[in-house]
Amino acid sequence: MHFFENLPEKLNLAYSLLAGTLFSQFIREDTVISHEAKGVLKNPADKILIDDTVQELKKDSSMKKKKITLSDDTEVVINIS
Amino acid sequence: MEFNIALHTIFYVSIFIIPGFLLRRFYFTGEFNKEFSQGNLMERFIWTIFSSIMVLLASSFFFYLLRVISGKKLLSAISYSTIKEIFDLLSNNEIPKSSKFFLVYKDFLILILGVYIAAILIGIVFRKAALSNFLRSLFPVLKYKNYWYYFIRGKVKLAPKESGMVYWYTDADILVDQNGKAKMYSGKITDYFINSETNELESIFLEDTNRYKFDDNGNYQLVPIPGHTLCIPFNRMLNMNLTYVNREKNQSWKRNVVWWLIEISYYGLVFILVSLFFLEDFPFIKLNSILDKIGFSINTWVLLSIFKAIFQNIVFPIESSKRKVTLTANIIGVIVSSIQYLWIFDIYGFFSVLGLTAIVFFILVFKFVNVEKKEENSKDSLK
Repeated sequence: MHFFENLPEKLNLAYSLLAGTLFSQFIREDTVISHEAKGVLKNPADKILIDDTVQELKKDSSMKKKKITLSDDTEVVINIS
Repeated sequence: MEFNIALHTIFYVSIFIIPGFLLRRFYFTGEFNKEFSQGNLMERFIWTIFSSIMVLLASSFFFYLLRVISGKKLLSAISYSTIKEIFDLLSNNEIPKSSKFFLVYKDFLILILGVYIAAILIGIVFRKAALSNFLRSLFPVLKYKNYWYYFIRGKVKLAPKESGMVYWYTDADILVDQNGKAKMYSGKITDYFINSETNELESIFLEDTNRYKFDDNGNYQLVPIPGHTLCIPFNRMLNMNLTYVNREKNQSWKRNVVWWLIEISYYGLVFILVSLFFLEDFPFIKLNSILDKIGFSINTWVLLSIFKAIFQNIVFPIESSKRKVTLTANIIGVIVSSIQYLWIFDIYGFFSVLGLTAIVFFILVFKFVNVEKKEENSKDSLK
């Protein structure tokens, strides 16, 4: 295996180092869709689940929040205000 | 004579205009960008001068505190005698001697760098304060003119607030006029544009958009609209209903306290690093030139950022799939940054360390990608 094999992966690792530590400090946290929500909504299955939950909460005004389980087994309580 | 006038002008602009300009530039960023150029020229000019004077007072106070707290001498460029010398030099209608010219103007550049850094930091801090609900309610003067920001983010007073919630996004149901017929669209607000003079909404952008399809009984179903983003101009909107989608905080208060302790310690240390730059001697550390000082400050900031990321990942563990890559990247970052101290402390020359850094970096990355590949192959063979 020579060095230039998988070069994009190596460069990706270098980028993840910079993005994860230095540049992330300068990313604006006040985008309309928060960075955290964007990360979760990237997954199509989770997006459908969240959209359905929001619609369900909108329809049933007696229900203010609902717990869902995302594809990585994280439990999230969604609330609409 | 003309040359002196130019010098005076440059001096006054550098002292009384640019700091205020920088403060306002960093205060009005992002969605408030258009407010930077709002108002008449005279009003903006007065705000700029006022902001510059505020920055000058704040930086004088900062330098005074730094001297008192550290007990060390400040850089000669920031001393009273140097500042007086610069003023004297500019007030005399004569070209200074070349030796003096370079000495004084070098000092002037360092001094003005300190003032500009203070202007940028004050601008960022004021912006943070203006976006904080609590501080904005205490000081309403901080409120931006772009009131759509507060409506779209659910930061209006009327929006019900529940404690322990984190804002995720805003869902909008928009009734739109289409050739005399009303149609309703639903989607996540991804962006919006306002008029640069009136701050009125011009257009709004939705993603994951659906169209409401009603039947005769008033029941509806959502029909997805193909495409990434839907733009709705404000002049076609009849009404808009916003729903703020939040996530409940599931972290324990202890973890939150540790998180904030890490944040405060990090920014405290970065502040000390910036402050150290303006001292004649670094406490406990011997650095020979101003380049070494800059190198030390930047490299230590990089190291601190990596350690902050490592500690925060321990407090709030990230997804298991990303954990290994992040940890490896952070370890490589620590090793590469630590190597830089070899040239900062004059143990090896700059270019030797640069070469060494490149070799170490690529060996570590190569090794990591190799191990990853082998693991993937072994997983595939087990399947």
